[in-house]
Amino acid sequence: MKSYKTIFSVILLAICFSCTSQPSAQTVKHEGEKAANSDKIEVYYFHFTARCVTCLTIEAKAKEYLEALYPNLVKNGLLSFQSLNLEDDAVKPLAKRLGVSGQCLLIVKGDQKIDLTNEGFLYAMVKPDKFKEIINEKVDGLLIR
Amino acid sequence: MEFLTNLLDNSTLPWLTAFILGLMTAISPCPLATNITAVGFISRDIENRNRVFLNGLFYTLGRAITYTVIALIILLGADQLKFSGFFQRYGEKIIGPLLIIIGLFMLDIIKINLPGIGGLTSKMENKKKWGYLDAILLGLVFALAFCPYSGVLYFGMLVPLTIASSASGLYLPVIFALATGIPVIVFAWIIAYTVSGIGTAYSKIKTFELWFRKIISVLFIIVGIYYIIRVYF
Repeated sequence: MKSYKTIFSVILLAICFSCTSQPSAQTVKHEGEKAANSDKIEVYYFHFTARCVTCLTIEAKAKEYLEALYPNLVKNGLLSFQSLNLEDDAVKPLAKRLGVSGQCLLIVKGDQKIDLTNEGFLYAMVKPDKFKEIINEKVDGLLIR
Repeated sequence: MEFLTNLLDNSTLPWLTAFILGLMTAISPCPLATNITAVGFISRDIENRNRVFLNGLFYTLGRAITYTVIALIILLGADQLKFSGFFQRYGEKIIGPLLIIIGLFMLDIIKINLPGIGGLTSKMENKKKWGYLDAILLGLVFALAFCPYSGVLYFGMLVPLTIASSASGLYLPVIFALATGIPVIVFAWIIAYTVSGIGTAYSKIKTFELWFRKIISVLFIIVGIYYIIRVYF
């Protein structure tokens, strides 16, 4: 009787663990599938938990400009913006696949990657118009290809 | 800041670019807390203004060592992305507790005989023996505390610029360090000049210095607590 109880407890525990671990695995897989879609443009802003004013501004401005410049693409799901915390375990596989280890602003389309981190940190605060212009130019470039 | 960004956009000289990046790092709000602490630490020898100036130079030398060594390690083939990720992730996490420990040392609450780290009551002969080692160590450690903004300016812009010029470009991190140190030296000197002026006028410079050092020790602890709250909560 005692052994039955032990086996039952082990099975119950196994079910519990599989329930809790599944969603994050699915999320990561989902992210990977989305990024592999070569027609879609994914804009990622990777960051750590502690953030500075400039970092928050880059995220807010990039999102705002993408939505203002390409409303139809955003609406149709062909252009998306995601802000991801590198200290979140579920984000790590995607960061590894994209070769990201620090904070950065990346535009990804299929296997093409454009890094706009430096431009973001230089211009988002002091020259937001220039930052908008650069985003426009880079995304347009990806749309033509 | 806009002026510096414009200068940077038009700069074609690597040394000028490195200098502007250093200035931008120094005056950005992101590393402000460590800069304020450094100003306090450098100007603590208010009795002797020349010493304040030399403290500042040695503090800058400490920063230059860190920036050059990191650039050299990357130049020798270390993975730049992993390296920068490591410092961006842990730099600010370490600085908070470290500042509190230094503050406690300076207040003589913790007493261990470490070279270069003198407490409030450290004797002058001890000071002479170790010279400016404490200022160098502070520069070395503070330069390691990359905040997101300074991390991008250093790893994203200065290091690629240095690597592009190969080994001959290793003077660029030194220029960068000099520019990060200049505002700190200037402020420290102004404070020392003003405070020592007031102290001399009342012939109480010794008492002034002792109190000034206590305030700076408390400043270290407050800034340390600020970093811990910012990063961990």
